Amino acid sequence: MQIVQIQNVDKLYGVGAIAVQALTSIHLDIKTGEMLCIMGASGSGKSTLLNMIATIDAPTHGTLNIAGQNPALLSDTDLSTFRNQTIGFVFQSYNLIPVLTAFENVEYPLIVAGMPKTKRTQQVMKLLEQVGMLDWVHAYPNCLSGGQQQRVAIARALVSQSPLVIADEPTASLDHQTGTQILDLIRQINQTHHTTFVFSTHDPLVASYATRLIRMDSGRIVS
Amino acid sequence: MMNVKLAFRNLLRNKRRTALTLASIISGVTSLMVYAGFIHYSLWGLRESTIHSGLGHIQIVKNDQYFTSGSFDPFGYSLDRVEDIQSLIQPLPSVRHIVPQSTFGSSIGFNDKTGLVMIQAVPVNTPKDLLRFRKIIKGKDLSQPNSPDIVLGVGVAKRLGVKVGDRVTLLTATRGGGVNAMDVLVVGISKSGIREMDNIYGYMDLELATQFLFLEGPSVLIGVLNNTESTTSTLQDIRSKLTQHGVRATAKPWHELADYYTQATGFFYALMTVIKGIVVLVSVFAIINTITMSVFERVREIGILRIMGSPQRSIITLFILEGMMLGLAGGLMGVMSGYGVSWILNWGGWIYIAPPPGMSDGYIAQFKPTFWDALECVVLAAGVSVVASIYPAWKASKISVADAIRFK
Repeated sequence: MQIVQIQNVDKLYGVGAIAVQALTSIHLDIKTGEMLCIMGASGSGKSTLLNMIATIDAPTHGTLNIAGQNPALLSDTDLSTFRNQTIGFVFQSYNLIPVLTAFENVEYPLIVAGMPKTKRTQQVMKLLEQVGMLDWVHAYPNCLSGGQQQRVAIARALVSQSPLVIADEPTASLDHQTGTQILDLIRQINQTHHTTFVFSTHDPLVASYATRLIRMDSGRIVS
Repeated sequence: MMNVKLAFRNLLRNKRRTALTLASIISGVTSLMVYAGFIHYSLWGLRESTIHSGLGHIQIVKNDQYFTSGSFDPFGYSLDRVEDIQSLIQPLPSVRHIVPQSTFGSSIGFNDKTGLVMIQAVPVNTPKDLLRFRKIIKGKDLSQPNSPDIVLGVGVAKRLGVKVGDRVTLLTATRGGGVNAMDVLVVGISKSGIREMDNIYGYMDLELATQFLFLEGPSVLIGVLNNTESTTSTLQDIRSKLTQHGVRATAKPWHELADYYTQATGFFYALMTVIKGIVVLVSVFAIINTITMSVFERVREIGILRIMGSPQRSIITLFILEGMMLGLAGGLMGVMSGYGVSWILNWGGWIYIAPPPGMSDGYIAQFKPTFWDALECVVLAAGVSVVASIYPAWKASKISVADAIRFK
């Protein structure tokens, strides 16, 4: 079953002489449970494609279908709800909310979803346990190492039990050992929950964890 | 609830900026509180001095025309059934006294000087309440019924060059068109604090005035109440009693008769509005600046919140909450500071206010902000802060999520 279907998508930034073609004629289908890795040099269009799949950027031409929905047809509120329930995000620079503790960061998507407190707490604690962060539940992000922050970010991405997780260079800011731990964790979650992961990287080690690899160059999928 | 937590913690992130914004709101609210306190005290003083310098709280007269021409025609406006009216009104619990009065214009002469004076004639045993703010600055007050004595306002006495113990001549028209004259002894010089009154008024015994002008009775019954705040309700009671008992008379409250008070109130409140406007402007700029800076600093976070499913309205709510918290905190601290500053100024008694226009005496300023001033200040500060937050909050909600997460 396809969780992502991209047909003939172009993305153009700017207009006229300063227009930049970020994506050209992208066709891509991603199956549920895949670990798809997008590789390419800086400026090749990896992040733009990820943003498109993540519904935070819209194509200039072409159609997108994510988990059975065309994001272009959703209102802001519906799109927010859709993201909350369907897509998890992991960023290179973790992007935790600095004024919230590890627990609160993971809890946030569930609050937005309106989940009752008791159920919310159980789910957050379960995820924090899964990523090995139970001892740091009440720590603020500035008290955590890069690896710990990324674990919290992964817990946050998974807490809503989203079927699709987008990870933009998730280990780029981590040392080799921590990066490997994070990748092992992602693979374990992929295998146990059949969560679909789509991630970008420059790193061949990271790419080796993928079940499928695509390469991008100048806004096109080249292999 | 999470938005409240986020808003509160975000305000604590940049403590210096939050403190500066709070300081500007606090100083604005403090100045509003102190000024409101000053106005209340000043207007209270003016109100009570106006009422207790002979105007009373409520005046009952024959009809409305009395207030335009009655002073010059005391014969045409003699009240009917004076004793009936007194017996109807005196039992009202809020009424302290009902005092009969006649007012007439007279020529006044002393040696080779002649002037005009309005004589307010009340019984010599008039309760002190009615004339509490009229001070006898020289000599003594009227004390002998039907005795040819007079107390002159300080302005009248000064212009005529009269001293206590001098005799002056009153010359006035009497009932039926005749003329009557009387020599009276100046027993006292009075000062009400209101220059307009001191320049024109004199006071004599009502019984003496009745004989002097051949009056049938007083033209006004003046109601003095236990407190000024009950004027409106007592006025309604008096009007309904007069109607019930078929008495043809008109009752008017003090504030419809005190032109100077009304003008002064308008002046003070106009000034208050200007000050409020300045405070609002300062607060608006401070809040807009703070929230806008906060939005700029948190573009990436806004993107993250949006990615996690927060709709635009949630981002708007977050920043408006921050503005409202700043406004509420600033308002509450400003109110406390306002009370504190007022207390210190009252304790010190350092501020002398020169005689306002139309007044003859200056006074030591007192600052008495009320609970309602405090409530208004807090509501104003919070309300202004919310309004000032709307634009930056709306801008924040409109930031493209893709741009936001790329923001460094």
